[in-house]
Amino acid sequence: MADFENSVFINCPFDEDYRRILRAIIFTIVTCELEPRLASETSDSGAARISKIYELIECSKYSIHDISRIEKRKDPRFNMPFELGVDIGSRIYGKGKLTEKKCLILEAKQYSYQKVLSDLSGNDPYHHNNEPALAVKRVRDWIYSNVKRKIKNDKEHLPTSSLIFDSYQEFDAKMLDNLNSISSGFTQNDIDQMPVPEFIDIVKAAL
Amino acid sequence: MRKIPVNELKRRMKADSGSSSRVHVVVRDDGWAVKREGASRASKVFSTKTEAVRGAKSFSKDNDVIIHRKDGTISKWAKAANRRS
Repeated sequence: MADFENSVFINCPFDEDYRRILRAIIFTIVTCELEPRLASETSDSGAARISKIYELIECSKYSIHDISRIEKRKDPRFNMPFELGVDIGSRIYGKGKLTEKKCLILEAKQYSYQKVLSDLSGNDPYHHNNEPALAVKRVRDWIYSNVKRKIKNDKEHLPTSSLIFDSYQEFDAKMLDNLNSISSGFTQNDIDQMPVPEFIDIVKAAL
Repeated sequence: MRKIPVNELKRRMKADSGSSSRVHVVVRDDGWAVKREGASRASKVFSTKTEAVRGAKSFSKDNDVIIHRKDGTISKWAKAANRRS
């Protein structure tokens, strides 16, 4: 079971368009020896999703909130800013270790939050342009700046963002090659459909 | 959709030492790099993707060359001559 100090709650879209960025973020977190925590890690239909989210917020020192989907589009999504609000609230009104919580806010396009979420002004969301490589850089640099304990012990070994993204691309190829050595005919599409918890398990096995 | 044999895949990924024969063509801020899998640095950076692909194939004839898109996905996997079936 992951502990509070190492857990990173990821609050992000789960749609197909975002999958590549989500996986790059997960890969970066595991590379930096932290534990990604997502609402999708359990599939218990009997449990209310929001209860699981409250639990994850409470047991994760770090969190990454991607509010890209609040942009003007056919079906904007507001779960992410809601959960961001709960997370910030837990730091402000919570006690003990909750006051130590730190978060990274991501958005697709720079300053797109300002029109619809102006309360965030001063919180400096970082944009990733829907590019996995830039998302890796944002997350890696944020970990470097905020996870002091790990940096202090192992500063010279935190890989650069380009090295992490290279490793992620190599991991993808390795996964496809290994799958085809088990049984030929697997495609990238088969890998793309893999549930997030299984993806995390395989990243951990590979690193 | 084929079901992924997760446990067997995990075992193989864990056992994979990283000393592979694969060479990757990947994006860089200043162009496209040719990089041997597992290396900490690129072998060479080219200004265009076409040049990088040509370069990768010319100096790694015995290796698979994997060409990536800007988002990291694989656009082409060119098998080494001795691996072609």
